[in-house]
Amino acid sequence: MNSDVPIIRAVDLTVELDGTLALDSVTLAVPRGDYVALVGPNGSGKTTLLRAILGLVRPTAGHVEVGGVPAERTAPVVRIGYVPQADRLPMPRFPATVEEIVATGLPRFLRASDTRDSVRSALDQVGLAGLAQTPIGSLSGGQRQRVMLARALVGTPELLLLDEPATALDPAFRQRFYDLLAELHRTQATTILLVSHDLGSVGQYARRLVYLEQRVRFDGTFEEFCRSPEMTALFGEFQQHLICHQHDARPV
Amino acid sequence: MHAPSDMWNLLSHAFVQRAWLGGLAIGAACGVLGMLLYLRRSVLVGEGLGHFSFGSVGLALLLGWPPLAVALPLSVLASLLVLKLARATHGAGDAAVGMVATVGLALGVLLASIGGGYRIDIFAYLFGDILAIQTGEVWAAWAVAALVTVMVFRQPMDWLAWAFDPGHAQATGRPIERLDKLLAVLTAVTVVLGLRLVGSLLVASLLVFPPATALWITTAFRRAIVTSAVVAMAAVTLGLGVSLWTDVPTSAAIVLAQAALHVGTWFVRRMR
Repeated sequence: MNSDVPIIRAVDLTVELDGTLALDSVTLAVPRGDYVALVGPNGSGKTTLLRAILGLVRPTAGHVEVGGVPAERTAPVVRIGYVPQADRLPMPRFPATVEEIVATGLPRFLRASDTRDSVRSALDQVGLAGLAQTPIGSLSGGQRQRVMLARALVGTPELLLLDEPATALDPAFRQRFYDLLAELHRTQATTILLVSHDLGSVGQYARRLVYLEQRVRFDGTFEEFCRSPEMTALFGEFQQHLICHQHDARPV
Repeated sequence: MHAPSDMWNLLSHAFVQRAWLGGLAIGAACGVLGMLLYLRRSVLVGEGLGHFSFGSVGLALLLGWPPLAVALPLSVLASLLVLKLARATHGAGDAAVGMVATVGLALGVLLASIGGGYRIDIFAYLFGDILAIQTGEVWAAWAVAALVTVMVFRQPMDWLAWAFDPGHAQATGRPIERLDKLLAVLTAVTVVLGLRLVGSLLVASLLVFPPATALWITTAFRRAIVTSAVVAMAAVTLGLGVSLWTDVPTSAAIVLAQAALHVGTWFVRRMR
């Protein structure tokens, strides 16, 4: 595949959901190997944009391509890892072990031995190797979120789409999780699109920051964000300072 | 109530053997499909299709056509319609099921009142008449059970992904729409065949009780599906046996056997 073609390309993407404008002429290109934080307030269209990229939401106008093909036909072309928002709990007695759920992130028709090895390695990455045989319904919210991360990582994705992945994680693992993303980005050139409403936290990790409020209101580095007069006008000087100050106080 | 020696005599009758074999097959199919529907919180689909099938049987009897030949295609169409409505209403599947089911039931009542002369036949489809099951229906039931089993165990991970997180499954290339349609069609076919077993009012029980009972027993996906099928087959055997022994209606005995197995399993689990 041509590496010059952006792995994600949205052109004039407009999405209406039940008569409400969720995205308004969004144009965005994410080159291969980029690490983008998609931020914005609640209801700004972040999840809708992610779902449009995944082909789960049909555009009202415009189009979105992943790996050079329309989003709804992406799956065979690009290996995608996806962590959805942690807002839906599985039923308490859902009959599946952690190992089985992680294996659903693998490509179809894989040999059983390959499946086992990959699942073990993904569970190792998120620190849950000891819970492989545990029923998914008996895990805590944070553990379940780690399982979702393992499911996203198990297929060695070229593109990782993460929707508020750190919400349920405890502070210690959250740091480890961001380190893991940084390592994947650095060593495997994994393209990462990380959705968060917590601008200050993700700004310190991502290479690029896209601020969305139905439209793309800002697209640049975190440092550029902190100097942007448009963002000062949007947030107010004090709020912008707080966000950027949090960035300065990042953990070493 | 029959003496034990009479029971052996009854079991040697071909109509009893057909009832048992047909019941086992429908039970197995319902057990497998029921687990999938249960995990997607869609068990009402079985209830809705049962009611709709009753309406189509009413139509067939009014026209003088074979009931199953009319109920089968109409129920498959209704099942696909439910799926389409559920998508159009962004997952409000229960509302779609309610609409299709009540229209089907109303149609059945309407046609019954117009026809007048076939109330006894319609009664058999409301509450089932497993002892009247024909050889062809037994073969059809086993064919459906085999198809359902192959469908699920050929790609169990697709079904697990579909049941656990359909959005993720679709985004990562699993054929979710195809699985939805396959399940809709096979559920409709199984429900229509199940009309003979327990009738349109009780057919949903075969889709609800076995998975609910199986989930008391096991926590792994493949084992849960197999357990659900085994529970359904055990309930059919128990219900049919009790019905023959005590001369109570078979459909009621099968439903109550399922309830007894469910409560019994819950009790054993609690005692451990």
